[in-house]
Amino acid sequence: MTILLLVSLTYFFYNFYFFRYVSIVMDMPRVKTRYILVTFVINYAVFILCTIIELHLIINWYIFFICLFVEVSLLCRGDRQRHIMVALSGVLVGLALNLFFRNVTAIIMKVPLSAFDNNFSLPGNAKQYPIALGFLCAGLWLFTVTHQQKNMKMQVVLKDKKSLKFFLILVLTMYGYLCLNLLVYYAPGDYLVLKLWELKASAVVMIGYYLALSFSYRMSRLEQFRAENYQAKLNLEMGKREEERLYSIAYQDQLTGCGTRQHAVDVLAEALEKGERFCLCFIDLNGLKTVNNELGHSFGDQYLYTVAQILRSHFRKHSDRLFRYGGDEFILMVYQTDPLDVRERMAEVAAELRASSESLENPYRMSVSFGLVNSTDYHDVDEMITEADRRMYEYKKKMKKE
Amino acid sequence: MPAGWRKALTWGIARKENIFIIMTMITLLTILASIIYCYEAEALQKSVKLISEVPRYRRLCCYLLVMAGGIAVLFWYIPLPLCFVVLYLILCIGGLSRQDGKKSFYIVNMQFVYFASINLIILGTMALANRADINIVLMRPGLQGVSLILTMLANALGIHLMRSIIDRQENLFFVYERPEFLLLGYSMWFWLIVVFVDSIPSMFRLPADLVSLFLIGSNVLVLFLLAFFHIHVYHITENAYLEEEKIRLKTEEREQRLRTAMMEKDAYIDYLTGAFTRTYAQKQMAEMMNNGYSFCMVYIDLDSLKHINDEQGHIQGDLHLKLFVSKLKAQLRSLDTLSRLGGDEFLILMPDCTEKETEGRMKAIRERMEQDKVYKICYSYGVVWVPAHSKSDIAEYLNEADRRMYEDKKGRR
Repeated sequence: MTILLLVSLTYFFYNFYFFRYVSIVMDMPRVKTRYILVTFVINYAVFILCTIIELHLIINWYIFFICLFVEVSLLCRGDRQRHIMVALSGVLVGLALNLFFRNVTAIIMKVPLSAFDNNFSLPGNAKQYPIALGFLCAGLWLFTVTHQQKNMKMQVVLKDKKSLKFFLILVLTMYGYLCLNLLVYYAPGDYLVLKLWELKASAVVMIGYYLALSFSYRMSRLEQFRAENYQAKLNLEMGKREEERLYSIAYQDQLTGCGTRQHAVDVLAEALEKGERFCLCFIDLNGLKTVNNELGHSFGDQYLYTVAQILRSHFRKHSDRLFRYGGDEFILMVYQTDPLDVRERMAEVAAELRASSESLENPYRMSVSFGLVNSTDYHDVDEMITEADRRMYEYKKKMKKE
Repeated sequence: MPAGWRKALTWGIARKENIFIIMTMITLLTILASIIYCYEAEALQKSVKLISEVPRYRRLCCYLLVMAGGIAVLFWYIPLPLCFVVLYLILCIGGLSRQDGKKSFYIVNMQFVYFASINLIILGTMALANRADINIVLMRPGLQGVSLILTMLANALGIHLMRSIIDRQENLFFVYERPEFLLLGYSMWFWLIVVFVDSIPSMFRLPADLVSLFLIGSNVLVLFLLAFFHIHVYHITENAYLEEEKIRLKTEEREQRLRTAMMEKDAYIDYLTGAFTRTYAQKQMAEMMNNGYSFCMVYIDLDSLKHINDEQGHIQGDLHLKLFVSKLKAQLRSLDTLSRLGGDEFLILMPDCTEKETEGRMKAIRERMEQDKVYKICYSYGVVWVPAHSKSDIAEYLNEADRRMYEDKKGRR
């Protein structure tokens, strides 16, 4: 009697951890203990029934697989392939260990293998010991595996359909192979060699299963990466657009499209540090405040925009840079060291501005004052700008006199 | 007559000449099959680029021994395990190289396991077909010959297929440094032992059908498993770049986030004064209107900033702005937003505040600013209340605030 109790205990141990394993691997909350109890009672009853009816071992284990499969299907969502995979894994391990211990017991007890078939009625049927041991070990394996809660190999493989299919075929083959080996229990005679040889069958299945799982896991991980990478690339694309938007906001003046004041200071400082030679032209719009007060801000903005456009059209070289330094001030950076040349071009700008004044678009007089400095005379950005500002102011005063 | 030939008589062939002809044919076919097998094995060495590492005399020795072994096995009964051990040693002679130890061992093991499994499958099948023990098959030259020929041809075919795959995908497969391939390589030793163990039961008297069935089943499984592992390793090697790509993309994402955060700072915060920018103010206003919050906006215009810039220089003008912002900020609540619209214009957004409250607060603030003994700052402002769920455009409210600010300016003159 005690041995029967032992068997039921070990089977319960196995069953309990089997469903824990299932819940982790299928990404589900823990299966409630009462369901596990129910499954235990059902499975064990079926197991005893099969023994009493003395079914063929192959059929016995097949029914065991069907029971587990049905229970897993009822308790978990998901498609059938995953249910089959999980149920089959549980049965495979149980069967392999069972076979292993049956043969070991047969060797130790010097009993013929046929003592381990389903003939319950025969005395000296030593089936219980290896069964108990087998389920105990299977339970232990499931226990150790469920302890590593997250990202179990099987969990990842179950998510990848292709890998899963491949792996499933292999597991089915191994299961078939073990069933084939069950025939050994119906062979007459007592052969030590056969028993030893059978040990190899269990070993092959266990190791084969472990290797197949490892490879499938690696494959599935890589497939996971493929999907994640695609998503990451999309995110990067979106992020890039956002970056560009922010860049234009942060470093570009929205109205005129020139660089901002901060940007101007940064660029100038860098250029001075590198010792580059350029001319800095500090440009001030004349009469912007008047336009804003008399005609409104929209005309004021138009004034600024027009000046920026005209400046850009005359200083179109790739290296020339225009920044909006303040409300009505611009900074122009010209990579030319001849101030006379710059003055000439500014004269052209002034002429064009005069020509466009008093028009429908710009019903006011447009003119600018400017001050020119050469980078070679300065080491400090603020100094440069201040001097250019001063010269611009002088120019403005001179113009007012005229 | 050698013992084998005599045994061939039990095969049911009566006439001496027939035996002679058949035995000669079988011997020749065996030699032919071994030549084909050796040719494929040589080509395999070339494909995996081991050919240069194994000296020619060793390879030739190996092939000759294979042929000799094949013929020997026809005429003398050698226990299967011994056959396998000798075969393995022969393959080692012909395949092992000192330079590329792991790789050459892998090839040798693979060749051996493949040969042995196919041999066992064929032996098992023939035993089953003849309702006999494996030993009978091993002992009868006719049957043994057929099994050998079939084995060698099947092996040659397998190697040929393997070669065509390797030639097509050059560097993809034999990347030994990969952990997956190492795992496969180590596991080959296990399969070696398995196949060797499978050869032992043939030496004992066991239930014949069962043994044959198990041999076939076990070796089919082994071949299946090996095919599975190789296909997987191939796919894994093909897709391994995905892992590196993932790491690269992760770094890029991180860098992008850093850059964006920096730029957000520049886009939303005015560098000079530390107040928010016009863009930020626009964003805030749009958000508050979309979410149905009411708020007050105060449009501020600093007095005589241009005058300060012209008289005392830009540095002083900048200082004026900075002081204004810091003083004003200190008197605002944490949920108020102070942004610089440009030049000397500012906008305060005050959520959860009525127009009257705002007016009161702004009046008090201005008094404090104007009566400051240390540094006086004067400005004009216009207050507008934006109701919740307002349908009008934000520009209307801004214009109204601007207008009120202008009224205030005129009033103060």
